[in-house]
Amino acid sequence: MIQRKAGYIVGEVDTSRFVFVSDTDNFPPKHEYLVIPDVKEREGIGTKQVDVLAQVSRISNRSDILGESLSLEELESIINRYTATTKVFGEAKILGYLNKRNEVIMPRSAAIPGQEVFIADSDLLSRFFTKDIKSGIAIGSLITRDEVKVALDPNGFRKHVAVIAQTGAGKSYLVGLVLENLLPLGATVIVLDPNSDYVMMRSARSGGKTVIADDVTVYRPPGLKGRRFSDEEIGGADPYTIDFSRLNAGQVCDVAGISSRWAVIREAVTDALGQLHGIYGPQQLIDALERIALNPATDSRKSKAAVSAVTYIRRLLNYKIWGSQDIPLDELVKPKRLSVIDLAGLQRNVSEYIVQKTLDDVWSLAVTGSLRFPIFIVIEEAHNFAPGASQTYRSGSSLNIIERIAAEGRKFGIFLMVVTQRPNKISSNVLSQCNSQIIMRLTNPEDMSAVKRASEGLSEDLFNDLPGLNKGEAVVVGELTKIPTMVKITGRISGEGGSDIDLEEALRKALDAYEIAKKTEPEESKVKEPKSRW
Amino acid sequence: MQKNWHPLPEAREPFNGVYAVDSSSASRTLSNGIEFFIIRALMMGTDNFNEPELRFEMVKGSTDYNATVNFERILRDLIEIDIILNQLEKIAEHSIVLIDGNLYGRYTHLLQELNLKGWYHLPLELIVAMQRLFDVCLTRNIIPVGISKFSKTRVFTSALKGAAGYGVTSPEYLDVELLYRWKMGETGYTTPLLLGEYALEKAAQIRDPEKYLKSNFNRLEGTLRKNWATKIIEDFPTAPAIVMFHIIPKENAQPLRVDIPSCSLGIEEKIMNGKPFKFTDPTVVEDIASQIVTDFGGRNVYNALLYVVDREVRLGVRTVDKVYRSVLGKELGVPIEYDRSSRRFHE
Repeated sequence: MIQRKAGYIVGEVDTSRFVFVSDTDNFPPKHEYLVIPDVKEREGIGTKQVDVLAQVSRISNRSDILGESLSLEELESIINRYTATTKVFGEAKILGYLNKRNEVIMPRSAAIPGQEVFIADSDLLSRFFTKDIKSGIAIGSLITRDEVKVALDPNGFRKHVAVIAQTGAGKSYLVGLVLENLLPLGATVIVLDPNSDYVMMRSARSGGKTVIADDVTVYRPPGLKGRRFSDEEIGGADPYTIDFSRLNAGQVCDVAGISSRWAVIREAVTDALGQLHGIYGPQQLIDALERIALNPATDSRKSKAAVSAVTYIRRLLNYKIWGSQDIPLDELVKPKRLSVIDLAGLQRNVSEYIVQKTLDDVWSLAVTGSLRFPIFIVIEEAHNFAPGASQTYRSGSSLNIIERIAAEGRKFGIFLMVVTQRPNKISSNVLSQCNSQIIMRLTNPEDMSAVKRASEGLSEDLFNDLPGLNKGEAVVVGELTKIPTMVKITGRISGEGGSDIDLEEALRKALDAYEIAKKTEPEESKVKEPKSRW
Repeated sequence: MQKNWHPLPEAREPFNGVYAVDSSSASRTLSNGIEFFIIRALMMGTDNFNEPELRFEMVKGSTDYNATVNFERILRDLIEIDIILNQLEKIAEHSIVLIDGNLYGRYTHLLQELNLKGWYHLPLELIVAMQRLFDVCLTRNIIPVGISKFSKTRVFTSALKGAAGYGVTSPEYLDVELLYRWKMGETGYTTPLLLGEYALEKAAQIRDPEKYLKSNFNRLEGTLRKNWATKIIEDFPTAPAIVMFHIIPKENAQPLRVDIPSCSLGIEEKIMNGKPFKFTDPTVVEDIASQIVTDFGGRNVYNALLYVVDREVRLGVRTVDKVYRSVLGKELGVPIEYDRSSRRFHE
């Protein structure tokens, strides 16, 4: 194979990076992969020759003539007379070489200045970046090389995965892509979906059903209005409700938004629940609280607390979630099953309760040895369900179980995929347990710092590259790939719920509606008579 | 003063090609006392013309500091002339070649042997090269033009005083000071002056070449070399005079000094015509003035091409000590060791 020369190594070289000189015709772009052939590597008392792979971390052009100190006029006089020669320099970080077992090894010897560097060929890159191509989870290709496909190692999910990116970077697309490739491997997946991002996974983007459609179930509370996608659009949904009578007093208070500091009110709720038996709903609880409040035997403090509790519990009457159709746990944990629990449209504390309950149920199965197959749990908008210590809203109902699964779930076959756009706001106990990370474009300095703190595998170079990633590009670190890898995410078949709306089109429709309304408005109503003062 | 100050011609490009030459040098003392010199020249110009020239020289250690300084200076002047001579065939007729610095100075300060064993004759080599340059340029209608961004001459001042009937031995102002005082904020150029033998201290002696050689080049060895030197001294008076003028190409810009061999402007005047300097027709330098205005950039860029070539030709410490040192060592087959003080400095 003819190799394309990128330049020559110059200056001081060490085992982690080198500088090379190129030219304006042959320079490799940033993130391109280079190979230094036949680097002498120490082996015992002898040496062997290895092909060392490196990645361009910086590329710069310099003109010694056209300096910053020159004025515009001076520059123009030079440019009119002279075609500036540009010196092209690049810096590359060394990624390692492959040993006979195709393992990536960091070299212990440095290349020699004056050595040629070449653009790495696709075959070498494929061997470098994919652990096991046959059973790997294909997620796209290397950023600089479309022909080099990148597949994640399914075993990398053993260490919990965090998917981190700012809004609009392509998180949901990526997670959907991972899921549609994980599912055919036999995976059991539960997606806790607060924004209906995964409800379209049965529909192919190109139309029709996806091959995984029969293995996907979407659960929705019935009767909620104003959803982004109707049940028909998503190919039908299984209803789920919450049996109010199965909630304990603490859960009722959490759902109703009664703070844990309001001990007396919570006590009143506990007392009222003690009076109820069988199947009941929020109305029956209100009745019980009112009975307590009106009971002359009740002391005034408790009476007032019962009245206050009624105010909170009354809100629950508006929630369209109460019923007796629990999400069937047996269905959720079936092999080769993707269950999307659509939380969109639900009040935050209700969503939190559902997340908590679902995870509690799965956890109970797991710790009693009843979980037969590994289960992957995707928590979208995870910063809302597992908020960090600095967050003002931190009820803790779902936080505790998420932290617990993050810490111990792996032993019991529960693997988290934590998806967030605000890593700074998520519990550090959760984020730090995600040893594999897929990080997409991120520009908020606080979020970047949180990622840096939580990720051992993220080098300074990769960290600095995060703001420069384009939509749909990601850095994969941890055990999902052999070495940190920059990937262009492509290939999702299923439809996306979380894709951006076409605002231009939406505005055009709004304008059309406005024009139609204006035309149909009666002529006389346009002339407004001044109100009579009499 | 006003009579000898002329408005700038319009910025034009009246020549087929514009080229610029500059050089750079570095010297290092080796551990055995030998000094080595690296002299690099570059010629750039129209159509991305870009030709380098490099020269290495080594001389035995000398205790005369001025001798090695002069040696390096003459080598730089020489390589600049050589590169033009070597490239002249490649450039179009009716072009100008800009040389950084004045021509007259380098021309008239060469009539003394260099106090460096084996190199006594070097100044004469430069005279020969310059004569040849002027001759070849004349035949190809190419004008060598020296441009100095600063000059401490009192030539224009002296000429003005002389023209006004005053003595000219000790004019009060440098030329630049005169222009600074009287032409601040204006643009224009001075009436060109023909520079003759005013700076030749031993002009009278030159007319007797053998005697001149004996008193000024007495360490030349060998008949052949002596004959060669005699011929050069004999021919020297026929060298062209230098036409010199100052130009302020933009308001508040510092004046530039411009030197041109008289022959290139169709003026027959020779350097030893007996007159120190005299005014000549300002229109003969109009095209050159116009080109200078065109290529003026600003305070830092007094001439675009000369600025570029100056930047490109510069020898950096790293280049000298990392690149050329190892090349030289490879060629000589021995590692190049600097003297102890240099090693301390460079390490």
